[in-house]
Amino acid sequence: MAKKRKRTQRRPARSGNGHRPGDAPAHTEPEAEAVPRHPGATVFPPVYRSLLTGFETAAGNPVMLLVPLVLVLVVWMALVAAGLSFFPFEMPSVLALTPIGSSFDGAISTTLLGMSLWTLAAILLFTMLRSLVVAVFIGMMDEVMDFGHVTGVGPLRGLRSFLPVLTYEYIGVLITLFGSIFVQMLGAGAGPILRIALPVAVIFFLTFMPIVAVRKGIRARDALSRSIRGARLPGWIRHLVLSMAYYFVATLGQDFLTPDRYVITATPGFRTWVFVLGATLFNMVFLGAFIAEWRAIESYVPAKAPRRAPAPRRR
Amino acid sequence: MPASARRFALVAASVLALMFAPGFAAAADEEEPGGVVAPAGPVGDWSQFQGDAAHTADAPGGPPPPYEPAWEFPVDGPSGPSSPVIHEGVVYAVGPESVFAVDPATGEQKWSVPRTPGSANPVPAIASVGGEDMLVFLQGSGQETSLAMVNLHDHERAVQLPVIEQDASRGVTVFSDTAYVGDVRGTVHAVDLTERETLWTYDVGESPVILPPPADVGSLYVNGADQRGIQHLAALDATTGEQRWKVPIGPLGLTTSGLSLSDGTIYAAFADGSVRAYAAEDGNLRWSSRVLRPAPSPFLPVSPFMAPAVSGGMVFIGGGSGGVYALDASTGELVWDYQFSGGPAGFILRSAPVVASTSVLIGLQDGRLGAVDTVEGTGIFEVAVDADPSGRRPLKGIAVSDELIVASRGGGGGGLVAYRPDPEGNLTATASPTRFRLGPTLASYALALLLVAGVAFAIAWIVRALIARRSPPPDPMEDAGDDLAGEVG
Repeated sequence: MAKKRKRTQRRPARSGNGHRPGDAPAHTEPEAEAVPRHPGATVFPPVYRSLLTGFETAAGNPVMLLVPLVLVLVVWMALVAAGLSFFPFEMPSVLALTPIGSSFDGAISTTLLGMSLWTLAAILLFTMLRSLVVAVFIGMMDEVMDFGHVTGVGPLRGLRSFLPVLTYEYIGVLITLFGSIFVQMLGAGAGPILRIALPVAVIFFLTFMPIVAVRKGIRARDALSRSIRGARLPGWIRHLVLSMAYYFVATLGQDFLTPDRYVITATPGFRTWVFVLGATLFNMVFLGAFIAEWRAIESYVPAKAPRRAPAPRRR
Repeated sequence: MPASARRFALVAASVLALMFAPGFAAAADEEEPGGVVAPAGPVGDWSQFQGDAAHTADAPGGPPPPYEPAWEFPVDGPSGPSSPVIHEGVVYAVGPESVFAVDPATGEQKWSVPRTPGSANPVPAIASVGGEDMLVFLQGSGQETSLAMVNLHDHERAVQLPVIEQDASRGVTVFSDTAYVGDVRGTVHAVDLTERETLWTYDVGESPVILPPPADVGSLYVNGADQRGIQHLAALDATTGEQRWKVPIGPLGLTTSGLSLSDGTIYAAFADGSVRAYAAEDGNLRWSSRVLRPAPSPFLPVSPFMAPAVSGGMVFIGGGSGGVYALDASTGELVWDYQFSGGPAGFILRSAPVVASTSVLIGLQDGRLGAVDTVEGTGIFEVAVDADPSGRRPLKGIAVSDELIVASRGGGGGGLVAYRPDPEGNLTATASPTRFRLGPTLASYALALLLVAGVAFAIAWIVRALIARRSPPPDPMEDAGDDLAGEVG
């Protein structure tokens, strides 16, 4: 009788400089591929393909599918234990990407603690927990995309990049916090435009930051720099469409589709749970889509920002 | 921007404002718990907003639920009549173009007197002036706003009182023979009803004085925001208008409810979810208790058009999201809370809470009258005449007499609605839906998880199969070439 062999995960082969993908940064990284510059050139995959990959990653693996959905119940139980007496209608955003997720943290902190300095402390704490979860999920998804299954390696890779991911989340919180104050100050003129443009810009420029941090194991500053440079590569319009689609569907869906939004209860019903779990899956699918986008463009993003050519001297 | 982001903005602004708001901390005093039920007696008059000059809304001798509709009195106009007042059993209210009296037995109009139309229908008040009972009310709008009064016995015509010159608040407070009214510019006017002249005015600040201020012997209590945006609570000498004390109570944008006064303590609810008690003697904070649930955007946890009710050592608050809260009046400890619900308009409270017998009564946006047991905190009764789930005909101010509960119905086709005890009606004991139930939660969650995860996994499997079917089969020559290259390498 043949013994069932324990399935082991083969690590990717070392590259020429002895550096594995996902390892700590090596002193030298392979040169970035040349970016196509001709009109209409794009390095981004089509939006539908990113979404398909995201869906296949988030829903096609049982572990990847169940962990976020179970986490939602855990969060709700923790909120009840903390004293919350009604199911918040922001619950569909519990695992949303920054800055929508940051808004959830702010709303829940306010609900639990009112408007005090403790609220700020709670927001910071919630953001830390969010960073932990995001880092682990990115590691898991990346591993599913590489190997088709989840082991301890992916989550550990994510945890190793906790600090850059935390930085990313805090940047999101700060932009949301001061941006919203700024929006209020602008009033009815430019305020509504900025109210939409600001979160979309955060998603567009910053969403790659935790992904590149987890995949490359690099510092927050380098991850931020690469994220911004990656978002601006040729074909960025696809990334913008994905960012806008995520923002609008996530926010409008929560505002207009949440069932029993006006039923204030501590015992959510079947319809509410279906919507919240569906929204959580939606958030995971888009996280997967952004990871798929990054993986497609990664080789085109140089490790360091290209130096600008010096301005020609005047004679 | 999502609603949660808007709330986040509010937090941000408030936190920053808190950092610069002076005098914002105070310790809560430990006192004996309340909860003593006052002995029931005749209700007497419900002479003004929330029953009396202190706005306690307490009628321990009022009729207990269950109720049945007694009569309806329709009032023309887009917004219905004012909250009613009751004097010697007769119901009085202010309509858009008249003030009128209604027979409590039949619901028929007894008389009416023309009124200069105003922007709203503020709550009138009953006063005794020179031994004559008078109904004092506001009329007109803008610079034409004025007080007027009509004799309840001859009710021939309204007597003009001093002009306020600003849109006035939602009603009049009468104590002794003086009427007090606030305006939208933040000024309180005291009018001597005997001499028919303005006694004094006091500038509370820049924000409107929305509800009639409570008064007791010698003092009037008002709140409003000053030029810097800091809200204050102040006590004024009722005779001279002199300021006795003034304390800061909150930063810019912190909406407050109206004030109620009982046993030397002023009670108010705040948009940060807190209910606070201040000493009427010096304005010191006695306790602050953060109990109000936040309301779904754009509603606030507390409405500026409500005021707490105080009865039997308990304070009852109506929250902006359909919650009714009972607190110990001496400590601020939450005794119970009950959540109304049901449809987009079902969770919005429109009337300030009123205590009748051992029930807290509340009017809802969809027209229902709800009752909560003051001891158990359970929902015991709901009734509606032509309930409107869209919320266009809310049940607003409630008045209580020995025999009747009378409420105003807003919106087009509004009017007065009266309820009387129903000897054959049934009471319920519904627990608040905000009490967490683990079993039903887990059952609903498990079913939803099965559905969502099952459907998602199935779709993912189909998508993967379709992609695998469309992708070309591996080229054996390519594999062979790779192997060969590997060997050569």
